[in-house]
Amino acid sequence: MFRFQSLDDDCTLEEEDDGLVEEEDEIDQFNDDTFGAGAIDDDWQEEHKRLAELDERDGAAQPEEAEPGGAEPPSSSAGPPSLPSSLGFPRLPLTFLLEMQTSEREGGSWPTAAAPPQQQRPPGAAAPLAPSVLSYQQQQHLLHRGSAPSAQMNSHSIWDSSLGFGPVSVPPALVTHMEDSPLMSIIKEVGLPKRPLQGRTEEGWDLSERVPPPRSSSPVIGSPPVRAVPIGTPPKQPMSHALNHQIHHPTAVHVRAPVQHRYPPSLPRAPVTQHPPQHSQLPAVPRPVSPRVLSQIQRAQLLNSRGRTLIISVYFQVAGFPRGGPGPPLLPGGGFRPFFGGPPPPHGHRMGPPPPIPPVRHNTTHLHPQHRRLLTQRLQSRGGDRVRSAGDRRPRDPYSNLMSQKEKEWVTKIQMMQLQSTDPYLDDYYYQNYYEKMEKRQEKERDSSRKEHATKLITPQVAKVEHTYRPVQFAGSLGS
Amino acid sequence: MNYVPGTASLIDDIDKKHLVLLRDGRTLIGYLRSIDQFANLVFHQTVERIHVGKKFGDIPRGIFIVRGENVVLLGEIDLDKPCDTVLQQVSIEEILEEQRLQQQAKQETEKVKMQVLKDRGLSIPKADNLDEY
Repeated sequence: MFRFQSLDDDCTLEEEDDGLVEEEDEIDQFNDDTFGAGAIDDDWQEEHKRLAELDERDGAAQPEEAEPGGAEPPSSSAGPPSLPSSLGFPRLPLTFLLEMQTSEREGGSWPTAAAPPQQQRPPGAAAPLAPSVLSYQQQQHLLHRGSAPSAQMNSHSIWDSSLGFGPVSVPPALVTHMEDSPLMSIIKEVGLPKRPLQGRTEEGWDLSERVPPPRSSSPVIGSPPVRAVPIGTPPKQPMSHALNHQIHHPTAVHVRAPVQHRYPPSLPRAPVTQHPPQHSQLPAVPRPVSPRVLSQIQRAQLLNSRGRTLIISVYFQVAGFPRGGPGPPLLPGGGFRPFFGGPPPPHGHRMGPPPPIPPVRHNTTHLHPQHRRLLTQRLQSRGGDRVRSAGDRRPRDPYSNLMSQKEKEWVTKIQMMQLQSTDPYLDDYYYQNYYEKMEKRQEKERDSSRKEHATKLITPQVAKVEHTYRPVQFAGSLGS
Repeated sequence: MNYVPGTASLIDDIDKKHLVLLRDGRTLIGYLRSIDQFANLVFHQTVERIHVGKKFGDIPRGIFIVRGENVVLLGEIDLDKPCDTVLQQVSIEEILEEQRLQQQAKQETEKVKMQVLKDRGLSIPKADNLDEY
């Protein structure tokens, strides 16, 4: 027998065939994964022809099928193209829509059609179908056949029946045709949708065929990755993240007994509970705590006012110890502490001698930006006190330093980037010349009086070479 | 000037009192709190100052965010300098009234001018519409 020979003589025919078969299986698997069980297979042309015949016949028989019980003759006369018996399992949700359309077309009546029409399907009318699932066109043809009551009933019953998935015996008519299809594996694995009580359609269709195909076992394709953390959570901001988390997901958590007010330096997290009655206590509590903590109280109140019943009492442990590395992921510097119900003295005790502000700035990334701002403000104001400028007679501005150092640097960086130039003498002629003149002048003056150089603006120089774009070229390719 | 020597940057103007003139003619005075690369400005304790003739009135506005493209000019106010001004501060209602009168008078003259030009077959497009084309 002549077999298809590839141009490549190295591989044997057998290998080829095997390879091809394997590829087909893979393709089928991919297909099924993507489109669900029952994707298009070969021989659709034959199927189409058959369906077309069916359609013509049904077109004539349609008026007769109006009555529920009169579906018998047409269906039996369907004969060879009794595809339904060997219909593949429904593969597309489109079938639902089509059914709905057909049912609507027929007047939208949803009679509980008698069982007989369904059972009329000749079980033995197994068409010589390919052992594969029917194509989409086939199903469409079948649906368009009208079989009005059955369609209606099907859809009706589908909506009625619970579409549970479970191990269901494959209708015998189908088994013979479905033996080796990849679909079978899936069906055996997952199970068919349950057959509705009304039984079968007049054409012997299993109502389970009308149901969307069971999900294949392959991993879900195309769905977004599961996010443990909501999108938009800023990284390295454990505090804000925790706050966001709490604000947006107010889950009930338990408060630790107020007794535990002696805080060892590093306590584990103590969750906070929802306590509506306690809410009123917060604003009224005057505590002899350091202003740093007080601001946290204010902030906590702010947060509390946002949520209806959720109370987050955030209590920062003002560390007397230096914190070199980043704090624990979800904790600000210390742990959550029950805010209410605790007597002031323990707080006072701990806050007693406020630690002197160390010259080295701690890692404040985990702190709330407002907290951080206050810290830096204090730092700067204390630093400013030592170096008091002549014109600085203004009282300390509580709103100053809203822009952090990082932000200023960031803006400066952008501005500097905008100054990039490959040819400064071209882009910034006047500044360059001016600076040269100034330098010369200073040289002269320096010879006489040793003055300091004025700072020069050093714009980032862009290397000229790197910016020429060369498209990737392959040897022997067109255009090379 | 310690950030970017040899250039003008708004970084050094932060937390200082400024006067900004906007493209729609408004004058705002406030503390410059924040900027960005587009020269969008965040003003704190902003006051809109309306000048009519020798009179002026202040309308407190709170916090303003000004889009950078709408700024005509921006200048720092030196708080230490003695404030010797001939301008007379009046109440808000009064200054608004003055402003309304001023606008009205201006429109009248403009209308007459346009008419005269039209009679002569000339037309001068309004400057404020030019941006829209």
